[in-house]
Amino acid sequence: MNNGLLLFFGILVAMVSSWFGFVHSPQVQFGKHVPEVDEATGKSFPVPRSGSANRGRDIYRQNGCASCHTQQVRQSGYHFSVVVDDFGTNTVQVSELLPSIDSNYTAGNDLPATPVSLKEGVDLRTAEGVVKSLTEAGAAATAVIEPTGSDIERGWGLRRTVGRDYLLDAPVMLGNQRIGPDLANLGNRNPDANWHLVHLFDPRKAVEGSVMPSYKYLFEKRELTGQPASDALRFNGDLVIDSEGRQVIPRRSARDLVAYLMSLRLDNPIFEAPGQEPENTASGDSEGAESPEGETGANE
Amino acid sequence: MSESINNGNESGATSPGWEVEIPVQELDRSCRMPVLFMLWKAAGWLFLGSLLAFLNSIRFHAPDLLAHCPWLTYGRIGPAASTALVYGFALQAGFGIALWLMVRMGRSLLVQPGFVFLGAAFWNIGVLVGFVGILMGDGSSYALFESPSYAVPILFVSYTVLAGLGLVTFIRRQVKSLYVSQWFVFASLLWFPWILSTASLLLHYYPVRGVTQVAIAGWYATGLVTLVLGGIGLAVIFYLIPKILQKPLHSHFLGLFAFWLLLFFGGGAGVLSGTTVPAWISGLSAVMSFFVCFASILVALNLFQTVGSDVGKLMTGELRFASVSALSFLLLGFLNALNAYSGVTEITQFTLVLPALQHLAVGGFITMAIFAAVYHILPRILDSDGVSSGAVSLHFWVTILGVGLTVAVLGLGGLIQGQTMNDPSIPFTAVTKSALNFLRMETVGSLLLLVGSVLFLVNVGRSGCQVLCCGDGGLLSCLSDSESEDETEESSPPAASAEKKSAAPKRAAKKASKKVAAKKKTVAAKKKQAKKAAKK
Repeated sequence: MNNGLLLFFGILVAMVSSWFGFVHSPQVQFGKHVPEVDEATGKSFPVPRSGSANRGRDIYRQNGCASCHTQQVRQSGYHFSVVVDDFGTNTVQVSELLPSIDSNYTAGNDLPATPVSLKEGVDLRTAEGVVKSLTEAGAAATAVIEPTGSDIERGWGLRRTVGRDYLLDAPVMLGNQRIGPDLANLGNRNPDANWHLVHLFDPRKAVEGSVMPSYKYLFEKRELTGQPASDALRFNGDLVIDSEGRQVIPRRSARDLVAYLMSLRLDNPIFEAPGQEPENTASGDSEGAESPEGETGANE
Repeated sequence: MSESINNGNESGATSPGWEVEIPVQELDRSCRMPVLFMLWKAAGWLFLGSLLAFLNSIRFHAPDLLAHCPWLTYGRIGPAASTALVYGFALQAGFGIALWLMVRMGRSLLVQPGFVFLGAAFWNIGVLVGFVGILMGDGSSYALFESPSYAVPILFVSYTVLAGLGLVTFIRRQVKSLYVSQWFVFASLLWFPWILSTASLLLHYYPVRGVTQVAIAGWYATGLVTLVLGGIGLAVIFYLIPKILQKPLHSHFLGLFAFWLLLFFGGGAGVLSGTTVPAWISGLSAVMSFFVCFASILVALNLFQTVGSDVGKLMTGELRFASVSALSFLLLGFLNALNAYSGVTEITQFTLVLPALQHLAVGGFITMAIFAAVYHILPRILDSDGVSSGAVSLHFWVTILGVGLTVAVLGLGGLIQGQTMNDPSIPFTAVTKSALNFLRMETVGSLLLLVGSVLFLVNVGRSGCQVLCCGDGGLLSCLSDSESEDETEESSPPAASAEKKSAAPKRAAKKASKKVAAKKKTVAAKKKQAKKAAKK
């Protein structure tokens, strides 16, 4: 029995250590995260979903959408570029300086309209050097961070996803298969709710050669008598009819699901994953450019 | 501890079972009812799961199939099939095998077989509730933990009864020193309630926040495949190969070293992550994958040394399932370690490589070990000739072809998919199209696996039926016959073959004597008729 008892305690140690590693530690690190509130704008992040979108998340779970779609965007690293907001008053000096910064410009020409992005895809040191010389010439310029990677170049997000993005979700449905495209930034990529409804009803109509199953059960089919219903599904202005010639009306579940899909956005830079604002506004960019300094150092 | 191992080694603990107090048949009879029930039910779930997996595979040829039925949509059928295959088939058969191994190697009768049977019955109810729940849309969306929250307590309670009595049997064992297989079974039976309760509490009842859910779900899935199912798989491999070859295990110590490596590192190896899980988890997980790879090399070396010159025998009977299982385990260790390397992860992440590896783990390693064990256990537990070698052979080739094709096609497709996905100049529709070709080819693999599951169902069902319903004399005579047969087989590995050899002639003799009796009857009847005719 001695033998068996030792075995039992050995297994117990293994179980407890594994539990500490993969259950307790992530909980210590993430469990107490709370939504971040931007002091300047008063906006909370992640943005809470509407009731409809929350119900939609349930539809997403019920139908196992996560078995073919991920909601996580990868990023390989960072680039920097210089954004000039204003060339200032000393236009002569700046226009002489420009060709040395960016070979697209030649001396003596008119200055481009601001804001303009120069020197794209450089490291932080180069970008800061350019900013310094431009500032000395009287222009208002900032170094802007640009996340890189194939996911980002595909437009699946402006930055990578981080743990904080899923703070309000239960269950978190990251998915691990990309038989369909990533959806983390869908609301930003394709904000046309009607297109999504048509895509759910008949994927082949919206995307040629799509392999997505059709979710016809999320729609009500009604005989077409007289005028079509006001909420009947239309595609490019034409009424969508099913195989038996009936009009198609989205059920609440379909509308909820689309509301959820629209709520999937990945467009605000946050501390863990700096990136560009979707609107190229200059305010706050300097902060965004400062924060990743340590990280870029580590990347190099 | 090392002393006791050495002692065990010297006294022959390198081979399972060597001292007889209770006749083996009595041991087998004590667990016949629950184990048989679990194996049959498992075969049924295997068929159901394979059928649904095949249905989902057809979807890639006809995406509009069954579009009006929410119950049968792709995203529900997939988790339902995986629940049927993992909880209905693999875990259930695994627990059945574990009970039998506990009884056989510990040489003690199964404690309270009636309650074990009850536990097994409720386990099936739990799986069924989860299965139907997923189809109704109550699935949890966590991979390998898809059952809805209300099904998990049924599973947990029924498991506690079933495995608890198994553990009591283990504690009451007559043979005190332990063989490697017993360590693996013991660890597996303890690990499962630990991860099941943690995952169920922290994901369903008191859900943790955000990405921690993903870490816990990943930890659960890895533990389930590597330690719970993998533990039973390795127990079977370590039991069957030395036993059937009648050779002692090459090194007891090497086996134990691999055991502890797997136990400490297997639970965290392969908790693959995207960018959202903190980097240290993927880092830790990668390091653990290398240790597991090392352990799988040790296991393979140990078995290779054990087999020695008998390589030819590896492809016979149920042993070929065990050999394929061991090979899959080695390959899996390598591939998982390779996949954990960051340069490879970049390509394989989010691609079909992941399901390919899962097929290799569950379909190649674990299922093959289960098949080997079932074909080994059935004739012993039923006290019959077992499944005909032709039927086993057919099942083997169909299954291995199915698993091989599935793993190869998905793996290759995944690599191409990953490479095209990482090139943003290729539009995503083209990426999907390239993956789609492989997914369509995989249909052949799932069809083969479906056929394989039917063959298994027929083999298991028929061999049981022969003895219990339509065999010579049926259940009752079978019981009384076996009582009269005082076979003390398998007291030592060499006796294992003696059992079969001695059993077969006896059975033949029985049949012959019955035939003689029948002939005598007919002869007597004819004589009577003749007498009657003569009177007339």
